[in-house]
Amino acid sequence: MTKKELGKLVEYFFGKEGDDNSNLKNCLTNNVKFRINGCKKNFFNEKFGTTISCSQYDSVISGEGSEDKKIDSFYSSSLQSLLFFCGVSETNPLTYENVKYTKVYFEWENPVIGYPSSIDVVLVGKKDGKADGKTIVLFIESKLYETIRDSNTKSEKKSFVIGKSYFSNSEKGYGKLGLESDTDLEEIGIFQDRTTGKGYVEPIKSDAGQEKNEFVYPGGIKQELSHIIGILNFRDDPAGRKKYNTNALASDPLEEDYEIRFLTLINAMPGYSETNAELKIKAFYNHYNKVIEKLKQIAREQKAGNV
Amino acid sequence: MTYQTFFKEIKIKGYTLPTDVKRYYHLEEKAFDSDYKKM
Repeated sequence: MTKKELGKLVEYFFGKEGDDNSNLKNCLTNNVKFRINGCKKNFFNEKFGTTISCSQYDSVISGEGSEDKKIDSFYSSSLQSLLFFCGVSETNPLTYENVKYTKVYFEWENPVIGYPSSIDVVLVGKKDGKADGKTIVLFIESKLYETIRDSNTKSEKKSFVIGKSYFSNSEKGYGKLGLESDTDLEEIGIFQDRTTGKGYVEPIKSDAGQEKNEFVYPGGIKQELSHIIGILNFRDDPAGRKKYNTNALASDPLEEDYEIRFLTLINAMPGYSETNAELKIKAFYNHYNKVIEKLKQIAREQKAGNV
Repeated sequence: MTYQTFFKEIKIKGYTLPTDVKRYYHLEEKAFDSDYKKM
């Protein structure tokens, strides 16, 4: 693909709403990049009419996963979350489920096992928008293209590996989530190889008894579980927040009854014309929903046991 | 949840997003709202 062709694609991509977006597939599958001269932050501000600050941009590219090399690509979900949430402030609050969020942090890292889990966005706000309201910390994982990339779905199904240290009943690993038996894990599609001790993610059947969907994005399921372990560590070890983070939230003691929430946002990408794109997004959603239902069940059982 | 559904809810409450960001990420395509609510 020549630079000239790339330019046409870029212009086409910024066309009028309602245009045929068949070129979206080409941009994504061919790893088409923005033509950027000079500072990337300034480029995105100019191109999208945003005001990304230096600290916001630096946070995003400082996370695990070499985001600096990916953020100029069409498929960068880090760029998606940066552009979407960079405007959150006291004067431009984001209100969701009766919480007024006025602070935003990017690529927040929670300790898990080995490498930390990098969550794309953290919003901090007040319930009902009242200054004396309960503080809510909302962690957001952002997905753009990951759920539908072939390399993330069926071809990776058998090969995706989970380190054996996750299979622990202790406060580390899946024991932290109350997932303490093979049965618990298999219900959510996590299996362990007894020979190597390592694990993998397999598709699970839907409630309707449909056949297993081969399009599950296994790395995403593993990542979501790691994020939840990391969020529990955020709750249980306030001092540990400084291990990987240097922003204001790392030092904020938060009041005693603050509340944590977790949200995964997936771009449904209307206009993306690849065959099975919808199936892949729904397969991930359905599998992830099973995980959440299982964790909710464990939480109810723990609560009942503590009464 | 999808970005499309999330954006629909928060924009009612006033969060301002640049127009080009909305266009680039297809956040105003009404046709998909009903489909993805079924997920």
